[in-house]
Amino acid sequence: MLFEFFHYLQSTEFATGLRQSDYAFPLIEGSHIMALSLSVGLILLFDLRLLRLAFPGEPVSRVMHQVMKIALPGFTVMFITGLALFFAQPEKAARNRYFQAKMLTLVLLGINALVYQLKFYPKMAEWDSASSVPAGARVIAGISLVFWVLVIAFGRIMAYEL
Amino acid sequence: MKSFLLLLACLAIPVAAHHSFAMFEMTKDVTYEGTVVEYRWENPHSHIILKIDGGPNAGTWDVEGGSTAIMGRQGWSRVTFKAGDKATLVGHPMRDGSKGVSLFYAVMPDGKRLYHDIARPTSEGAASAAK
Repeated sequence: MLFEFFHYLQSTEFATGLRQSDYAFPLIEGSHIMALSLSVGLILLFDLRLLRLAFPGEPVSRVMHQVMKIALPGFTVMFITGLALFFAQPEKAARNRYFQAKMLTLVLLGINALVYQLKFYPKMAEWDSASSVPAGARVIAGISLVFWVLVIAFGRIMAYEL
Repeated sequence: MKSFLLLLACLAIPVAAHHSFAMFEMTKDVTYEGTVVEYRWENPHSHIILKIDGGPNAGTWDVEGGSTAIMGRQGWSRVTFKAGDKATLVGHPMRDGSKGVSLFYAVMPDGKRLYHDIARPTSEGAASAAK
């Protein structure tokens, strides 16, 4: 049922036009790769701060706000270009097991970020400048680091499935 | 100068390839003669689905080319083939033995070769110069 819908989407004029365009497709594909630095790249910096591996002298909240100013527009670009790439070949992507793994990992990362927002963000002022970060927040940072690398790897390996 | 060229070369590789050619046996050139089932002129890779009746290569093969921009520069277009056409394709087979091929060139009815990309055979009959 879902695959039938994706099959229909793949055969629409919009999807075919995207796949057959000499300029739009490579521009979208290239932007999706380059915006990684502005989105995931910056989130990793924040994760490293929580693990005290980067900017240990800076308050966590300060790093977070500086990073988010650029990461949120970065993720917007990632989302729009990613959606466009998906719509160019929805059925092929949906049937690809690495794409499925990438989507699942993204959902887990969303839950991970939500836990941080609900559990640790409200009380950030208490440990903001302290020399130690709560263990739970460090676990979340570690999960984020590993899972984002996995998302990028899955996205890349996807292309090797004919 | 030398390191600058090396840097340029490194920059050029990811742009030219959506994925690498590691999954194909690039030193092996195999000729596939059959009927085009589907000619998919599209990104990130064009595909020619080729049906071969009989012989050691009997079956349906997925012959993968490059992006429309890369193949367009070699003279390919969306009307180069259509379903039902006879086609002679030379390519590099998948290492795992599955029915996938990396397109090297097509031999057109007038005998001219239409190459997938800038790679050319190193000498007559020899392995192709990959990349």
